[in-house]
Amino acid sequence: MRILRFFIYLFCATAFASLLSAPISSFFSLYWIDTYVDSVSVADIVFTLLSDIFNYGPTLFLIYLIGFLPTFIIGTPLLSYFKIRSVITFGLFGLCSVMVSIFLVQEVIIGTKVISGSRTSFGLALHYLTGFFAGLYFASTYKNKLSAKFIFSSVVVILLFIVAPKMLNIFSQ
Amino acid sequence: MNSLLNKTFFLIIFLSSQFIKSYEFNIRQVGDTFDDPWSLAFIDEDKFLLSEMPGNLKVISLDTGELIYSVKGVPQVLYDGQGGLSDVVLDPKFSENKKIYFSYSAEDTEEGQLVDDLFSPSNTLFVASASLVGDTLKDLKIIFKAKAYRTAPAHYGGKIAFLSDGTLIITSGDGYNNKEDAQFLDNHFGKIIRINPDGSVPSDNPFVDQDNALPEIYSYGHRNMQGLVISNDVIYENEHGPKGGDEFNIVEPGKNYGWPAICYCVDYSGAQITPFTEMEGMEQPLTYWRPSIAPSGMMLYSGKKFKEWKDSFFISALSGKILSRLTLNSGKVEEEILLKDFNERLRNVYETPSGNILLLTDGPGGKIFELSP
Repeated sequence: MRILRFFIYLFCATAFASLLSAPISSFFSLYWIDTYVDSVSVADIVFTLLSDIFNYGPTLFLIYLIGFLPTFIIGTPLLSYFKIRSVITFGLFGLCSVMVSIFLVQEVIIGTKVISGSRTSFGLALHYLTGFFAGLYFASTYKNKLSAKFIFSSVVVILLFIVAPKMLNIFSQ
Repeated sequence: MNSLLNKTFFLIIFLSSQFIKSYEFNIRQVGDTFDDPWSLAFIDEDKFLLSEMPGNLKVISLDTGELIYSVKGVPQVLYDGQGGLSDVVLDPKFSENKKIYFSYSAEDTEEGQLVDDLFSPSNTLFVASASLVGDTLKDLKIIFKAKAYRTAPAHYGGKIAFLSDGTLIITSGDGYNNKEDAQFLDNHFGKIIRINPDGSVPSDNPFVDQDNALPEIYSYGHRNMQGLVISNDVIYENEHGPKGGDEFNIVEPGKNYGWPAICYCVDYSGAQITPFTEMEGMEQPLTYWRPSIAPSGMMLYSGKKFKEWKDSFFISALSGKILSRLTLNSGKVEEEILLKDFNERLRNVYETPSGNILLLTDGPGGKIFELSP
């Protein structure tokens, strides 16, 4: 049960990092378009944000898992063994996870900058920061028992991610 | 009532079926396999020059598919990702001067052009001319080097065609990581280029007199243009979108084709590139594909063998694994999908001198197929 709980909270932390990261991409693309053509409306911003969270978020989740899984699977038992309880360490684990994921995917596996918000140093730094916060989130949750409320909320979020992209697609046609 | 509905339904199905023609081809594989074949050009009725991305230029017999000879003197290319030896075209007076033009990607370490990256060399698109003397390229001259330096070996464009005034049209892709540069005229990312065969700039190019604009630029706001046809001096091109947004355009001088400010697409990752599909001052495509088919080569068919297909555009597709036939009727595009079950990534499409259709498939182990009625 502890192992199952560990993985559920690790997936949640990864999803948390992805959800924080998706709007970074929206910000950079909209910022460029706004400076170039100066015609971005509030509706465009809302549509882009929602679209990125629901369509781009799941891709980021899969990419970030590449870093989060090994880092936390190896790191968490080590921290327990050495009795290190600093939440900052988990934050650094999260930061390293995002760093490793982006490096592997963009430089080694694909060779192009597929994570659209990370094409500038500032954008990259923001992505790393989301990993840091995800690490903190993991540290604050992974020892908690799974409550019915938590399970219900998780199911609702998963369903939302299945339905929302289809709704957005319909609206954008 | 139900019976009447049923009859109507079957009548509609029957009438529809009368408009769906199924074409029967004879499909013949030409030779065995080739190493990442990209393009070809017929040097006579039975022989063609074939470019392979690793940097091989070969003369192949259409009849037997056998190698007649490998051409010597091809410059070193960067064969990586989407890079390598790309298009090869003959000079309009090839029979007299034996001149050919070809595009390729290569490293460029010229001072000031290095892109800072630990893992990949700085590289760009080159276009060279040379004379084919015997089995060797002589008088090799680089006539165009794109000011589009990148480290990712992607989105080079690389198609070449001639206008009737003898100038060359070249497609230069957006380099994938440099998409925003397609909107600025101080570089060659995402541009269509027009130069003279010696590399000089024609004096009537649209941006020759504009400050901060590169004079070779003919049009801008393109992505990765893989198909190029010129007919009666009208330039037709197709280009890849990411997820959705593949386009078929008529290219006019000085015009902005919108990428990445407008697009019928999202990025491969699912991220929004732009919320806009149209904008003032930016051209709309004649047609676009959503979902993408990844259009590659394109040719305008003469109708020599398949009479009913005279003046049709044929576009080969990579991820779509189809052959698309487009017809233009007073500005409207009609599409017919061919070879639905062929299940091959198609790199390019050509017409043979006798009027058959020749298809190149993609990748190492690529094949050539000849379609005849």
